Amino acid sequence: MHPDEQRRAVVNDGWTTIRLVARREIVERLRERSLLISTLVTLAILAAFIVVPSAIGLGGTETYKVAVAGAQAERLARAAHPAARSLDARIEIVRASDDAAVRRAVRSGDADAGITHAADVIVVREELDDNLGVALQEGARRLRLREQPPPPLPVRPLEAVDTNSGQQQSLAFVAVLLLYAQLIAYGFWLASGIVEEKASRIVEVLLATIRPRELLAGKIVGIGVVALGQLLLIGVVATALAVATGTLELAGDAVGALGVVLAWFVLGYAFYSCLFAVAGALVPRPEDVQTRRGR
Amino acid sequence: MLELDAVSRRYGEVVALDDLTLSVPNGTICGFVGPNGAGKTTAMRIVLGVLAADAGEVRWDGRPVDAATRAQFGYMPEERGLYPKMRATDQLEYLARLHGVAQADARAAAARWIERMGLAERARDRVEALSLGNQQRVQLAAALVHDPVGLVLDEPFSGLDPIGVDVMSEVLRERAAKGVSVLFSSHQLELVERLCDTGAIIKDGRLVAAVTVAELRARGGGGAWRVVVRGAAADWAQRVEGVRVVSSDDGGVLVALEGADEQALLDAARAAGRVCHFAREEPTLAELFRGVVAA
Repeated sequence: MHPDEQRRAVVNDGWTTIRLVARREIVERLRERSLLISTLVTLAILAAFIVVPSAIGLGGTETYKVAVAGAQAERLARAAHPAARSLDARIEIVRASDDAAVRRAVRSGDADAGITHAADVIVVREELDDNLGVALQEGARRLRLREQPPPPLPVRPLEAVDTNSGQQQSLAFVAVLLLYAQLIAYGFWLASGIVEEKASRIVEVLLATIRPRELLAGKIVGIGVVALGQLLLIGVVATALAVATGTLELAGDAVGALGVVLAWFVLGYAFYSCLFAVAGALVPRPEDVQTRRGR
Repeated sequence: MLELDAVSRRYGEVVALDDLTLSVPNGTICGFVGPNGAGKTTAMRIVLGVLAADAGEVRWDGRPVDAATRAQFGYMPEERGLYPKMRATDQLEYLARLHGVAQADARAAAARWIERMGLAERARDRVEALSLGNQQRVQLAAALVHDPVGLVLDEPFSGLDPIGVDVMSEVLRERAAKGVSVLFSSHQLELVERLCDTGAIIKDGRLVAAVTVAELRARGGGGAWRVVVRGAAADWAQRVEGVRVVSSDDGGVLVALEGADEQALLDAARAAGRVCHFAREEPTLAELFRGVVAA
């Protein structure tokens, strides 16, 4: 017999309960100002990381060493001086005895580029620096004004091109750092959320109504959604910023890396969230979480 | 009807409940009284499934209580618990939804109960911003918001101001009138007597007396007398033949006449000292409580 005629409670199934718990987590997290602040701080740090190196790079004069073999090659390198100056760069000429010596200098890194005896090709180890390339091509154009139009000099890399390995490394570094920091942060949210429920005693009301595993699953899913959203936002903004400022030239790679980071995040979160949940469940009060996590 | 049938529970060596049997028919209010540590909270937690019983059974309408039935109970734990950072109405709506109430109904019920508790202006406040008394009202609303068929309230009156006590009493009576079984514990015995249909006194985990308030009133005709004698030996009443001492305190003694008549009692009292007060009294629950608990 039910006292009120208006309605009769239906018992939720497990999924409905998990959805309700997750929704509460999402709504309440999004309402917290600390989420906004932590997002902004992370973005600020990343922005500094991305923007500062390119800003510094623009400020100073860069010196390029160019190995040359023979007079014609040297003339070409000298012809590149004015163009280099206009790009805030300086070209230092390194005389080499023959073409083989040029290639040796380039391969060993003693020279950033080399010009062989015939002055018909630019030798580089892997890739020609943009500014140096512009300067040398300009030099070549000035030397060969009679040819209309002068074809650009071919660039010959000496080693298998692993383009962008430097960029890929820094991308991976930032991604791993972000992944690590965010996993720890989100795990901490979860643990302190569980402890908060215990400390505020709401857990007794909740457990009189729903199962512990539904409560835990709902919390993990809810915080996971907020976390993924935040990471996605940070990742997209950081990638866009990096591509826009030219720190990262490979939009395609960056997007791919972002995708991989998010995929690893989901796996890592699934694993670490359970560990943090256990840590939270074993601890009586919020002020104790820090020590428990450290052990 | 809510029934506890031979429920037992021990914590290590300590027996918290020992074969407790108790029933609360639909539409009645049962006051659960007993000294601290008697097992009231343990019994209520077992009803809500927060604790498991070592032996015995809790039944609703003759069937063992399961999760589906519990979802239709309302519970107010001794240690109050709400999400401190969540807004009052949101919290009520959330709890109603966890109990299986549809969203629109849950929202309406939350608003209705907030209004009923006199908190309409504070509805958007976070719970932590409310006074303790107001938090208590939200807590009661949390137990009622899903329109439960059974209410289990642990010390619902503690910490309430007189107006809060009136609101709480009115709500409990109104729920009972709609057919809800109400079980609540309290140390305010006068309140229990005023409000309840039955009183259940437990001590050391056992039911020592279960009385209906009507019965209590009827017993009054049997002849209980309150006698206050100045300058008498503490045990003067015990030496009077045909008189049973129900209780005694600084204010005098409460005695039941068993064989002796009141004139004999008065003579004995005058012989013992200066009689300040001599009156027939209904044995209140408080008196009964002191009698059985002291025994």
